Amino acid sequence: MKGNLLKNRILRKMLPILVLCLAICGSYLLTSAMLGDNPGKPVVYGMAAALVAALAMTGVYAWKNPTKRDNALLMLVLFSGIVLRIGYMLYTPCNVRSHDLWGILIEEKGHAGYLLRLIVNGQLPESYELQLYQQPLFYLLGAGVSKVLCGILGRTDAYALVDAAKTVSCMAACLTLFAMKDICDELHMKRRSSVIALAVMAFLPSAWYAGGRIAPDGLAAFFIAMAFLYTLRWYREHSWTNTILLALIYGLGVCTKISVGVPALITAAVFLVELVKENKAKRLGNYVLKMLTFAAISLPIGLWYNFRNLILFGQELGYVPGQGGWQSPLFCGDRSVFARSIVLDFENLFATPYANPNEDYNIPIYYLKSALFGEFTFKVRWLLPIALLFVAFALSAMIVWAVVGRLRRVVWHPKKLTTNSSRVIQPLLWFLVFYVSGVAFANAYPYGCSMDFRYMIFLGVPAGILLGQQVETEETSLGSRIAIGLLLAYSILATIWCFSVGVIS
Amino acid sequence: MQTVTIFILSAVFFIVGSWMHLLYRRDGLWSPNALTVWGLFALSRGVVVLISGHKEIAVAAAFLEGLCFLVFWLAGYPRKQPQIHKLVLFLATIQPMFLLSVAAGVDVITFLSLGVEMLFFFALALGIEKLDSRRILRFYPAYFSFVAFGMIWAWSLGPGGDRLGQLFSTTGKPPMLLVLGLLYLVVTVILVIVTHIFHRELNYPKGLYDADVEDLTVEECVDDSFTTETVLETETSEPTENVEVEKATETNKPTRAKFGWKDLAIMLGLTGIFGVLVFFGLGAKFAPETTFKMSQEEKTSRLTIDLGESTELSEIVIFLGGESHRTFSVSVGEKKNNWTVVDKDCVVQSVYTWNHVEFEQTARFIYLVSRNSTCLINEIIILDKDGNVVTPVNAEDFPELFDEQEKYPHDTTYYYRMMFDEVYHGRTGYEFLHGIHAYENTHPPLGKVFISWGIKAFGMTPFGWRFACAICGILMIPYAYMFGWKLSRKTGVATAATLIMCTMFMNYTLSRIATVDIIVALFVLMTFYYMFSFMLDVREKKSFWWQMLHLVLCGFSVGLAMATKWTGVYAAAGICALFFIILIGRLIKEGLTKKNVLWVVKLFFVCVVSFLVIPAIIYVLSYIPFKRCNFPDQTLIQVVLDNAELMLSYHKVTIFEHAYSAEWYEWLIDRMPLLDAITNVGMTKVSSVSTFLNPLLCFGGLVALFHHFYLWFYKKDTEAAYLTMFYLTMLAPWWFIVRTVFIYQYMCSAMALVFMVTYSLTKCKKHANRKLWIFTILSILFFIGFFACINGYPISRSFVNDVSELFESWGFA
Repeated sequence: MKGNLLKNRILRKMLPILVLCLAICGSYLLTSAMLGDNPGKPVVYGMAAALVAALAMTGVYAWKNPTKRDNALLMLVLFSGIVLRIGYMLYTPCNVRSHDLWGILIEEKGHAGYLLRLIVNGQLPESYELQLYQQPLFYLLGAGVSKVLCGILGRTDAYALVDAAKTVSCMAACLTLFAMKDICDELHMKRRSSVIALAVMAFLPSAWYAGGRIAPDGLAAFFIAMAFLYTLRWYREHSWTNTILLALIYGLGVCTKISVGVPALITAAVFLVELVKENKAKRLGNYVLKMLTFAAISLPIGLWYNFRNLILFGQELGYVPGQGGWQSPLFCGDRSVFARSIVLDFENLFATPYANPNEDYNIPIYYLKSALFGEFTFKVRWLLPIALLFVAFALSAMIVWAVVGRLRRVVWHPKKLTTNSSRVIQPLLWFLVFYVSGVAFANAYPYGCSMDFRYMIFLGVPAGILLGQQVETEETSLGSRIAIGLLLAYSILATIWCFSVGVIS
Repeated sequence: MQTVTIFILSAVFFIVGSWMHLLYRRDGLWSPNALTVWGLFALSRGVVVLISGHKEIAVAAAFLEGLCFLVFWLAGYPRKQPQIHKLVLFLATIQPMFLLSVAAGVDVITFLSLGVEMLFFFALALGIEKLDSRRILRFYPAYFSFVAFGMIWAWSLGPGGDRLGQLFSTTGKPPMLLVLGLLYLVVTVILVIVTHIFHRELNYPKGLYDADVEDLTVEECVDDSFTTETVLETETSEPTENVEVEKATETNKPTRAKFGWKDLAIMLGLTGIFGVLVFFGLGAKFAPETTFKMSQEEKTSRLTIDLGESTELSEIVIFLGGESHRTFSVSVGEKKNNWTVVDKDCVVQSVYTWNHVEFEQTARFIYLVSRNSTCLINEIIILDKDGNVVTPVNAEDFPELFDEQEKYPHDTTYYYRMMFDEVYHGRTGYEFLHGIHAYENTHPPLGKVFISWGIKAFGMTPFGWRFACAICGILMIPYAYMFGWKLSRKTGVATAATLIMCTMFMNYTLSRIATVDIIVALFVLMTFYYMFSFMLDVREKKSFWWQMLHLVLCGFSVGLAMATKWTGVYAAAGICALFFIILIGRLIKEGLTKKNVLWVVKLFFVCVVSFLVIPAIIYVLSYIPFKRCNFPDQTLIQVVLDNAELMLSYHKVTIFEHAYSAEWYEWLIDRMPLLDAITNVGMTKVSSVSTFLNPLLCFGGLVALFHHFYLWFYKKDTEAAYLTMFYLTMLAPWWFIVRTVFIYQYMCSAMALVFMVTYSLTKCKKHANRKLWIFTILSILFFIGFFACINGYPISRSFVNDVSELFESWGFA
């Protein structure tokens, strides 16, 4: 019986992931084989058809089962997010809207060169120059997947080998949504508020861009989301399973990108809280053993590459490549911290919807613009990106409203918190720590590119959750209605945006 | 600028009007009374007509609109439902579309929008009366959203320069405002649909459909079960059995506190502290004072300076006397009369300032020729390549030029030289003292007379020319205390107000610059303080002698203010309006009794003396030094009138590019601080003196301003009305002025903000005292944080860049 339950549980978890994997790889193989390297419009039509069908099915199901309407909506949002991510990945060549990809040659020192070294030579980089300093997990996974997919397609050209690796980013972007759904369940959020939370992340353009790019950003965001999920689970029940899984997540996450280690501060705080409790309950020994196990798993997996580079090349731990100092055209450190981080640069907001890393300096506005459009400009009629920008700005204001509302519960009305205060405090902590660390990083490295939202994609997860929780708390208030209305507008505009980008690709 | 002004005023008018409307609705009224509605109509249209650059269209349109409203008012059916009528007129008055179309200045659009406006509001009135009014009145949120759409599109398609075609373009300027406006239109449509579908009923308190009701008050519409008694509970040691309940009614007012020794001590103490801060690093007590005159007529326009031997030079530093912008021809040679011209148009700009001229030459002789008919030089410093002073061997031939070499400071911060407009006012003070033809004639002379007294006492040195302004700035502090005390009758509140005044930033900087702005600010503060005292005298029914005293002092202050700067005229207009409001208010309240008539007659004579005779005498007498210097042969009255004409024409046309100029609406958000002086000190430090407002006061003051609108219009708070009038009368004239302006011209209005913030915080329902002191402490912390930027004390440049320059437009280093 127990074995059957376990088997069912694993199946329930693994089946969707397997289906997703097949969908991503299958669609990639199909489009590459049938449509070539620039499949733009047909993919968009396919996406539109899929979404319309899903909408119709959801509508019918909800009409026939009104009590399960919220479940249906949740599935629709999840499905939409996945379709958008896969669609974007399919119609965007790897060398379009890329970052630091550089030449698709094995000698190059961008992401493409890193990958090709692994695929062709089966070797890790021979130096830490430029992008070769990056942690290897994404490239290892990318190389593996690329070999399989290109083997099926029968392609050995460098472009195809590199392009295939974006399926890893796409998979990570989709799995982030699954992780977020599990986080909502873990926080015991109502279905409706889970829909709100998921919608914020599902329709976040920056997340699709990361999903269609040869870069570790998407995978890093996934691991941070998993770290969030398993920190919650570990806090609820610090079993050996949860401890080992959490350790693996952090290890693999840091092995993807060092910055995944930043939220470990929160996990460490949770460990500390539990340490005090366990000490009081005189169960310290077992607890310490778990901590040692955690360290023994996460640290070697996470930091082995750093130590390899330290020994081989003298690359210091926490190394970040230089950007050229004050002479760089990207330098924006000549403004005050206040002007960069606190005040909103409305002049910049009303100048153009697109971010300009050479001129912009205000972090909040840059986050907003790059969350929607990255650091790129698009030949899409002005009406759409500007409307999306303003709606997203209003939605961001509602997220701030949600953060303040949750803070009030914690700070001003702590007595109203129940024994499950972790469900209120943790999302808040994850949001604030991640946001503040991002702002601190952007100030420490005052260049336009440091402010790109691709480093902050995970922020969409706690932001959505806080909004969902706040709407749940203030169900009938004007703020909740405005938030829902804005979210609906944002979802529609973001979807149209994704189609538009595909059409012009 | 005029278009922007009209847009901003229209938006503020609409927002405040809508807010008032919502407040009225909440308490059962639907609009202000008829007099207020017509008054708002006249005021708003009048202001726009005056500001507009298209006067003919504006006048014609405003006249037509007024006519339409009058016809509407006099027409038959409003008599049955006056509340609806007033409501519709109020909505028509506050909506900004007509005002904006006037600003656009296009005939067709203006009259078209007038036509649309009339149709819309007639339809609304008919609709409310004839149809189910619940349906129509339900659409208020959509109405406001629609007006927002209209305003944004009016700006975008007008001054913004956007075109509708840009919405569907992929290149060129992004039409940001067009899209924003479109989003508001979408929101309007959604609100109409949603409201229609969900049938939200509005609460209808009595009054809207009552035919017999003309003007309701709040009390008539409020629920009768609510009493106006306030109940205070005091806890004792046995709360369950011995709770005493005290009832305080409106008749039992607490006795008025008196200004005591404690208040005097605090007032003087704060004045002393502020004084110390003002005098800290005010200016050097030395500067070259002996003058050498180079004159073509007297054949002293050429100088040959002999250094004794060939020397590698780096700079020549020239401390000019009382004539600015002098041009020299500079030559060098190893032998006399064997010159090589280095620069034939070397311009030296500023008076009483160390002007550095780069001079990387090796020579024994320097030949200077003045290209102007006269040139006054107080000192010349010659520096070698290492920065050491080289004294010429023939220095004795030109004693005035080389006799004060030890006064050269090596760093030329504000401390040792003139900054900003000191070059005009400080210089003119010197000219008044010595009977020299006065250079500066664009402001009345009294302020410069005061400056000349400081120069007389301490010499033509930075300390000397700034002394008078420092004293005036310090004298503002006791007035701030007294004003704060009169507002609240509480020592704590007065202390807080004074501390906020001390940490205002702008008054501190202006106290340390020899310009007339702080002098006029002092007199304006005195003016409004004395008028406020008069208002309290009337309210508290004090004896006529007290009223007379305060009026005379007010008149005296107004005279001093007007004789310093014509900004004093705005204060005069403001107190005139306030005076009549106080007068009419008392007559309405008490009626035209014999006692009151007598009182008015006595007041008339006092006012004639106080506000006509005394100011006229002060104004005319202030011109004596100016006449003596510039027009000794003319009569005093003629000099006054001629100068008035000159000043009027000057201020009408003075428009020039300046890096630190700021329009009036930019003052409200502290957008452009004025950098009075900046000097690099070493490699890493900077000394800068800037004029701007404490950002806490600036933004807190805006919030307080809106709160004061609420207190004035809704709560009928007299003090709030007074302070708002103080603020607006000093600000409003700048809406009409087209010349180049700067943030320091906001000083007089900003003083009102100090009291508005204080008063607003005292009106908080919960923890008023705590909030007031938190604000005060924060203000002090801001003052400390920005002290170096307003004082000129050398500070790390990276600190200024990273921390002090809060906004992109702020530049202190």
